[in-house]
Amino acid sequence: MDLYRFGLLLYIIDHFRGQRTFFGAYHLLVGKKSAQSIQDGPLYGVESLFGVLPYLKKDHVEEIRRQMLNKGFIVEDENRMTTITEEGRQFHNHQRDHKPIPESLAGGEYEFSGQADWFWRRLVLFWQSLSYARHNDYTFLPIDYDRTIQTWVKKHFPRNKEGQSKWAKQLFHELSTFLQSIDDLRAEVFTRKLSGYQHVGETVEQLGETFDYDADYVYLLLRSTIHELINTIRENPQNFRALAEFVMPLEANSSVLTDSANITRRHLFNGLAIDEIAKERGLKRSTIEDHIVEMAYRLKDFPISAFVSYEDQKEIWQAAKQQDTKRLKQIKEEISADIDYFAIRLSLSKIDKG
Amino acid sequence: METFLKQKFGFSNFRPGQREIIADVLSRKNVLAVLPTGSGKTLCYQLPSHVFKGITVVVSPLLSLMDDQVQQMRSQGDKGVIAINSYLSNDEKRNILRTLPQYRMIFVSPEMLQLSNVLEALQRVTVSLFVVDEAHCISQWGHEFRTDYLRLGDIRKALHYPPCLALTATATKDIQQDIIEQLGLHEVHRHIYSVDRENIAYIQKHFHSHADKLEYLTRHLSEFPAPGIIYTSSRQLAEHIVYEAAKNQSYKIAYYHAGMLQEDRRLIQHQFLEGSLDFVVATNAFGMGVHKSDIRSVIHVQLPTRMEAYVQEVGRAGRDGKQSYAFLLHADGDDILPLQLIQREYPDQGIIDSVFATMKQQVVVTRSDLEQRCYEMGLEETQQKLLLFYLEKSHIIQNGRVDNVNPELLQQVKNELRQRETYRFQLFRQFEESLLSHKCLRAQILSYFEENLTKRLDPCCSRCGDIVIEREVYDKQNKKNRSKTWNQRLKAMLALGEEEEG
Repeated sequence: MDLYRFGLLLYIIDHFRGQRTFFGAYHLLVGKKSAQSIQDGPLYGVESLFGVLPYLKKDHVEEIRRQMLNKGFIVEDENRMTTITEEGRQFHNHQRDHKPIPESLAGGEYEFSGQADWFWRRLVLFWQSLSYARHNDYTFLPIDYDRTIQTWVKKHFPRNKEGQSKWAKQLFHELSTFLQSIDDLRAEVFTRKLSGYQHVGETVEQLGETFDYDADYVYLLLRSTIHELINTIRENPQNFRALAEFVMPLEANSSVLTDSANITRRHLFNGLAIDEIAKERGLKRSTIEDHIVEMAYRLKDFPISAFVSYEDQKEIWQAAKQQDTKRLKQIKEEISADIDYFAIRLSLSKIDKG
Repeated sequence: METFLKQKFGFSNFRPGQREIIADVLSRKNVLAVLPTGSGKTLCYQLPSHVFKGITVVVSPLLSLMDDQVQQMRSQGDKGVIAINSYLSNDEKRNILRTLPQYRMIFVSPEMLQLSNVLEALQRVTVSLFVVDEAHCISQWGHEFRTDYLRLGDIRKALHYPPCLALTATATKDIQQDIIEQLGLHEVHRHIYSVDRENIAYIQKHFHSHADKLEYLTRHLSEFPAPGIIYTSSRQLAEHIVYEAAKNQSYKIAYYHAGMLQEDRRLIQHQFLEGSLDFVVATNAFGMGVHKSDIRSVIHVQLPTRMEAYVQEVGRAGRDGKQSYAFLLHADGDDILPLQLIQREYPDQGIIDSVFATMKQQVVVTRSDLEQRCYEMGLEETQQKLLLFYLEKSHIIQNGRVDNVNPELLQQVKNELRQRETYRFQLFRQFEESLLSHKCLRAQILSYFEENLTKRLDPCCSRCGDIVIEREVYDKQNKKNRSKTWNQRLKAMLALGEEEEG
C-alpha cells in the first residue's frame, strides 16, 4: 500500500541529486511555504509537484523514510543529505512507466497560489446546491462548511428557476466539452468527486479501489484535471463563461507570494533598503532576504541585479557548474570570500534561465 | 409547550427530561443537566432560544462538533445560528461580531471567549441564556479537562450573570459539584438522569490475541447489524480492518481518520448519513455531531482511555429508540495502547526538567517566552497548556511573567503532574476492570457513575444471558448504481433530460 507516495518521494529525491534532505522532498509535496521549498521546486525541476499531496502527515512520512533506508532505496550522509540508490531509481522508474505523473499537473502554479482550491471548492459547493435546487430540495447538508465558500456560492447562485435552468445547461455544456477533451479515466475521477441530489461524491480511496489505482495517484489525476481546466478556461474565457466565474480573480491572486513576502515587496517598491525594511517590520535581516529570494523564484523578471552584481552572478554560476551542485556551502567555498549566501541564493534562482 | 415543539421542530413529544429542563430554563433558573448521549440535549437550549428575546450563547469545546451542529440547523432553515471559532478568518469574525444582534444563537469556543473583541461584542448585546455544553470539561478531575474552561465563571460575570444551563452526558457527583462551583452558579436546579441507555444491549467477546480478534471481526462483520461505527484508536488499524473487510462484497465499509483530506472526510460523513455506507471504521473523532438516528451497532475494537468516552461513543447507537447493540471485542494486551495514549497527554519528565532549567537561568521571562520554549522542546499543545496551568496555579507565572522560580514550587508542579497521570492510569484500570469482570456490564457501567441498576432488562448484556441479535436484511438498493457514464451522471445530478447533449 501507499506505493505511489514512495515513488513520488524518490522521484523528487532523485532530482535533488543528494543536495537536500528527505524532508525537503516531503515539504515540497505537502506544499510548505518555506523559503527552502519555494526555491527547491524550480531549482531542481520538480515545481509541478509542489503541494500535490497536502494531506501527507509527518509521522507517517517518518515511517516511509525508515522503510526506504531499510530497503536501501536511499542513503543519507552525516548531514542527512539524501541520495537515491540504483534500487530506488529502479523502483520509481518502474512506477513511472505504469503511472506517469500527469502531464498537466502544475502544483507550482495552481497549488502554491491556492487557485486550484479556490476553483474546486466553489465549483463543488455550487454544483451540489444547483443539483438540489434542480430537484426542488432546499434542505441539504452542505458539502463544505467554510463560510467564505458558502457566502461566495450564495452570492453567485441564480435566484429563480429560470436562472437555475440556464446555469445547469451552460455548466453541463462547458464541463462536458472539457471532459470530452481529456482521457476517460480523469473525466470519471473528476465527476465522481462531485456531490449532488442522491449522489454523494467518492473519496480518493474509494475511487482508487474502483479503478484499481493507488489513492494518491487518483488525487494527482484529480488535481491535474483541475489545473488543466483552469488553464483551458484562462485561454478561452469566451467558451467557458459559466466556469470562468469560479476562477480566482486576479485581484484576489496576490498569493503568488506568501503574505509576509508581499509586504516586503511593497516596501521594496517604495524604495526601502533591506535593513530599513527589517527595522520597519521588526524582523531579522535574514527573513527579509528570504522574502527577496522567494520573489526571485516566484515573480517573472524580478531584477536580482539590484542585489547582486552581474559579475558575482557569473562567478556563482561557474562555480555551480564546475562543482555540479546547487548546495550553497559547496559553492561558497569556490568563490570570492566577499560574496555572501544571499547573493548565491539569488543567483541560483536564475541559473536555468541564463 | 408541546404545540410549540410540534410547530418549530416537528416533534410531537418530548424525550425524558427535556420538558422539565426546558421549563426551568424558560423561567430563567440556573440549571445543571446530566442527560445521556443521544437523548436530545440540543433541544434543551434550541427551543428556549426561540422564546427568549436576546441571544443564546453556547460554549462548546469541540470545533468539528460545533460546525456539524450549526450546519445542520442552518440546513434545516434556521439561519439565526452562527459559530465563532478559529475556523473563521479575521474578516469573517469581524463581520459576524459587527452584526451580532441579527443572530439568535451563537456557538463559541472557549478560546474565542478569551479574546477581548469577542467578549466586548457579547457585552453589547443581551445574552438571555449562557449554555455550557460538555460542562465536565471544566473540572480538572473530569475526563477531558480543558484549561480554557476555567475562565467561564469570569466570562459569566462579565456578561452580568445571565441564566446558565450547564449540560453534560457524563459527570460523577464530584464533578457535578465542581461544575457548579467553577461556574459560580447559585440556586441550581439539577436534572440528573441515568447514563443508562435501555435500548442498547452490551455484548462482550474475549479473544486470546489481537490477531484472532481482527480475524473474527472482518470475517463476521456481515452478521453485525448495520449501520454501524467501528471504533479504533489507530489509523493503521482502521485501514487494516477496511482492507480485510472489503474483501466481503455484501456490505460497504470505509475508514475515517485524520490522515485523510478534509474533503474526503466530509464525503464519508455524507455517505454514512445518506445510507450508502454500512460501516465506518473511525478514530473517536467520528460521529459526534452526526445526527444519524438509526445507528444499530457501535463496535469497539480497542478500548478508549476512560469510561466516559466509552459511554459517549456507545451512546451514538440507537438515538431513534430502537434496539441497538454495543459490541466490545477485547484481547489480551489491549491495555497497552490506551496507557500509551494517556502517557502522551502529559509532558515527559525530562522535558519538564529542561524547561524548568531555562526558567531558573532566567532565559525565559514572559509567559509567551515559555510557550515558545515548550514548543521548541517538542511539547504538544495540550501538554504545554497543562504545564502552564499548573505553573499559574502555583503562582510561578503571575500576570503573564515568570516570577517566582522557587525550586520547591517547581518540584511540586512536577509532582502534581505525575499524580494526575497516575490518577488517569488508575481510572483506566478501574474502567477496564469493570468491563472485563464477570458481572452484568450494564450494572458495572452504572456503578462507575455511582448509580444502581434498578430494572431487569431483556436483552441486557452478554453476561446476563445469550443475546439474539435482530438484524434487518441489508438494503441492497442503497448501494448506488454507479455504472452510469460520467455524462449521464452529470445530467442526473442537474436534472437535465436526454435531449441536452454536450
